[in-house]
Amino acid sequence: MMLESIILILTEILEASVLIALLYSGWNCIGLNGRSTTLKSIIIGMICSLVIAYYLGDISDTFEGRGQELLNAILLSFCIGLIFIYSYFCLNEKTNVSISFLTGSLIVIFSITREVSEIAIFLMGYIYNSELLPSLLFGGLIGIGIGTSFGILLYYFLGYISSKKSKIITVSLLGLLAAGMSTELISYLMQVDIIGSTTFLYDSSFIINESSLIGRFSYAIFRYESTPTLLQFLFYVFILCSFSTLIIKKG
Amino acid sequence: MIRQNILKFTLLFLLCSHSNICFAEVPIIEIKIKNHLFYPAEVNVPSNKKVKLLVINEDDTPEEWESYELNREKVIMGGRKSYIFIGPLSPGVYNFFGEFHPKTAQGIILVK
Repeated sequence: MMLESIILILTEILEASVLIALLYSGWNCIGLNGRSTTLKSIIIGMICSLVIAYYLGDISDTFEGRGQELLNAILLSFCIGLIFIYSYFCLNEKTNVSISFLTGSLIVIFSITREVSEIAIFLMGYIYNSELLPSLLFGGLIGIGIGTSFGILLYYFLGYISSKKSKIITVSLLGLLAAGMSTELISYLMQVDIIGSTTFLYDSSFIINESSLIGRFSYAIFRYESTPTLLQFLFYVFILCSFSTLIIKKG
Repeated sequence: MIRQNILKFTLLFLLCSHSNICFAEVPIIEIKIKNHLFYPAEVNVPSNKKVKLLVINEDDTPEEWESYELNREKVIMGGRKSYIFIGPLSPGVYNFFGEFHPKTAQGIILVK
């Protein structure tokens, strides 16, 4: 079970870790120190995730069994919008410090809430299993360690290159993350039939299989989908185009 | 003018293809989770039809029903049930598994 625990917790932590590294790097590029905001947001996000994990059963049963998906969809749509606003103020010549900190902080809180609540639910299932719990927790710590290290490496890489280039790479990567979030959002709405699903547009699993280790990491970092529907594909392209336009106009 | 027509056509196409206005009844298929195993582990589904999977978790512990091929994931808490819509699907085999117990909770959806 230790390996399963490492993989599950690592894939959950990876997205949050990459997102935090990018936001932190963005603040650095415009001369702000985001340490205190990031730490506070992580703590608030963790408290929110525990509340969500505890009440998830009841949340799921609301809105005729659509509660879980609606909550995820709302958090994801907020994240996408906030990432765009954050990126705008990151690239804009005149930055707005309070908006930059507020958007960045909310992105971290929403992201941590989503990712950590799943880890909490997973561990809750083993809380009374004294045989497996130690190895799961140890595996979880390794997963957190690897995921966090990846974020730190990305942050130092972005800090190593020039500020202008770093800003553009940061916003480009944020755009990729936001585009990936949009496909996940559509998927949640299709899952509970709020949006009708269609057959898959293409199948790229022969290039990268989602169940492989690379596939899982690609999914965790930029929500790689090997079998998207037309609507997911269009949303992905739309978000990418929006970020590209922002980079061309402001970058 | 041409651009406007293309936009109208695209919006109409998206509205029709993703509309929820459906008059046919959606078949419901039950999947139970017991001792971290799926019952049945092999689910038959008609091709090109939307299907509602009703997942009942009879274990005390939570499970996440997940399928990479179907782009679906849902946490089902212990002793609770929930549903997931899948399809329309092309004929083939689609794997699903329980992310919290992947060694035992494995299943396939056979689309014919």
